[in-house]
Amino acid sequence: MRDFLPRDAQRMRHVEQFSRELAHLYGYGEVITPVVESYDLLAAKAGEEIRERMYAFKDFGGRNVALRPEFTASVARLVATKLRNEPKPMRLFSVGSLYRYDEPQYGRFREFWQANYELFGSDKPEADAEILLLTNDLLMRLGLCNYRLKIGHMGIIRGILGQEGLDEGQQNSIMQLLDKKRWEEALTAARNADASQNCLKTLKKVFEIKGKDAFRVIKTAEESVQDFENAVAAVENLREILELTGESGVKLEVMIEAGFARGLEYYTGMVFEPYVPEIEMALSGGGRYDKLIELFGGEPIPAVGVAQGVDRIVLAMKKQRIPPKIAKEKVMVIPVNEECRAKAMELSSILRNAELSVEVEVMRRAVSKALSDADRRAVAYAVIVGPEELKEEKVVLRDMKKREQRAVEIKNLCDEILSGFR
Amino acid sequence: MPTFKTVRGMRDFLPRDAQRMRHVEQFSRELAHLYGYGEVITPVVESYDLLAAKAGEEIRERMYAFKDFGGRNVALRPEFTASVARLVATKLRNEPKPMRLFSVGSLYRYDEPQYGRFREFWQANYELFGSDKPEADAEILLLTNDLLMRLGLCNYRLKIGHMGIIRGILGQEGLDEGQQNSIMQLLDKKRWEEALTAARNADASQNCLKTLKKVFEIKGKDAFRVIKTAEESVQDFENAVAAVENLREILELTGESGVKLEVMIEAGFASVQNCSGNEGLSA
Repeated sequence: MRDFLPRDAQRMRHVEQFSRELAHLYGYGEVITPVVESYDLLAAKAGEEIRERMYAFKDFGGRNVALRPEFTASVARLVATKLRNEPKPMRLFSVGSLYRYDEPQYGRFREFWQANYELFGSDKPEADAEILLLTNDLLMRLGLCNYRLKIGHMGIIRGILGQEGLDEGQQNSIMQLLDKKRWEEALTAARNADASQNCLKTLKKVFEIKGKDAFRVIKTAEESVQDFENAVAAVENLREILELTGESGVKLEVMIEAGFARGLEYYTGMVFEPYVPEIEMALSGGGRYDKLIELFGGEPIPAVGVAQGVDRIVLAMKKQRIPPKIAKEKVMVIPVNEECRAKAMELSSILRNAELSVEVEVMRRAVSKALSDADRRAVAYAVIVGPEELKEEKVVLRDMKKREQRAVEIKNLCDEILSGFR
Repeated sequence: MPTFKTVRGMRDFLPRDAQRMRHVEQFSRELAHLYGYGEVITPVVESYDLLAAKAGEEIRERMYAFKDFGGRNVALRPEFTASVARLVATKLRNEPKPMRLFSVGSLYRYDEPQYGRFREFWQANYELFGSDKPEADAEILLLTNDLLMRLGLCNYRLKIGHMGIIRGILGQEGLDEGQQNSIMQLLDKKRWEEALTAARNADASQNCLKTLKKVFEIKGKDAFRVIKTAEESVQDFENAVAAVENLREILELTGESGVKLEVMIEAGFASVQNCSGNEGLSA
């Protein structure tokens, strides 16, 4: 668990608000679901690893509950129940904190934030392409450089294993090993499950297929899996998705990996993770999960989505020295004596109505002390409210940087300050 | 297929309501900026001891408390103040005063769900540390008024009291803090008779009981008339007089600053959440 002090909190909220605006630009409606959900819901399709790391407990009513380790289960619950009759496609956005009892390490915390985009109702490559483009858009608009999307397709390996007759459980354990890049063990597991020599040979080849030139990689993959019909279809699907993004005029920087798998068991199609060179971990993770909604009692509804790691994106922005959103300059209003206190508060209100950030002196310090505090806080202007000037409807306006001050008429105060900022 | 539901007391916000929630959240964040409050984000999960330290029995009993995998006693925050106080006492210890801090997010209490009350709820929290002057109290009142007004609300009214009035009376009678706290708790629930009985059982004098009874009835929309009545009623109790005087200063300041606050002053109004005067406020 950790605290964010103002400077970091501002970065977090900036990325959060930014992803919300992006959701709006792409037509994703925001939903807010509870942090505390039923254990069974969250465990239903979480994958063993996440399931074991959930903050689970009994509430006072004896219910088994847990803190959400991801958004997808909660959103799937909504789609299967309250939003069941909404027209498709349905685009949903959610953002907030999530909880996993992982060993804390660099960039990984037990409370973390995600901005989550999910598109329900379409199994077409247009939907996958939209999620890729949206992710690219978010990272680009936030000012990140040199990021690259690692992209794979769960259907390639599953297509091979399925044709060999491995059941879903066997496939899942192999996918988990691949997620951890334990290639040899994955091969052994396939061998133990009676996979044919051709299958093992193909898998081995597939694990090695990767590269930045998407269409060359896809061609190699297609040739390598030619004996496995569903794997060929998966490669074909990936090609279509990437062709669409390219033809839409966006140059995605990618790293295609035919053997790339993501840890969550529910992925069925394209999967991806964006990376920047400065950080080892993925900034986000996404993909297609067509079989998930029915698990939560809904109709079968195809779905594709992405969870953007808000705190990791913030970390990447700091690593790349992207300056925080420039805070508006501050004004401090200082009454000279007690009889001017109310006037100081009144002027503060007027300045705030002009959208200025205003701190009013509440300590009854001498003006000189308050001014040195203003200096320390990087205040741009001090407004000094004294009885002499007030008689002429004036106050003293001090430019803290230039260390100059002069009396200005109260009615011109806002304009004086705002023009100084221009 | 099981049908999954939200856990009792928890709720979903579908897009229309979520948008309203985020609007108010973003609005209160912008207001924090206008008033110079810096945002901090603290965890939802905190140590049980921290949260229990000053929570008041009622909240303490309703915390979502559990052991984490490391065997630590933790709980979901039932309010922001304990977490923010932790920051002020540790990481922000050396920051210059006054310190203005803003926080916003979800909080958790195992209350019986009822109209407008849920087990997960949201607050935008503004706290001003380092000043005991009425200017600080006035700022919090003005900020609250500003938020409600700018959001377009009409006919709102601030119910205002001062913990120092009752505590001043009880303290002069020699009641210790624990005894005072139980009486404040009863007042918070408007159980006036029981509060009087508790004071009687703690050996309060006839004059004290008479004064308390009078104080409980002092309320009204005309702030300065109510304050005058209160001042006369508590004249035998020095600290209570000072509390009334403090309240007068706060309200004079807001009035003179040109804002017409609609108020309901209640001399016997107690809020269990905030402990000293009324600086620090959850809006």
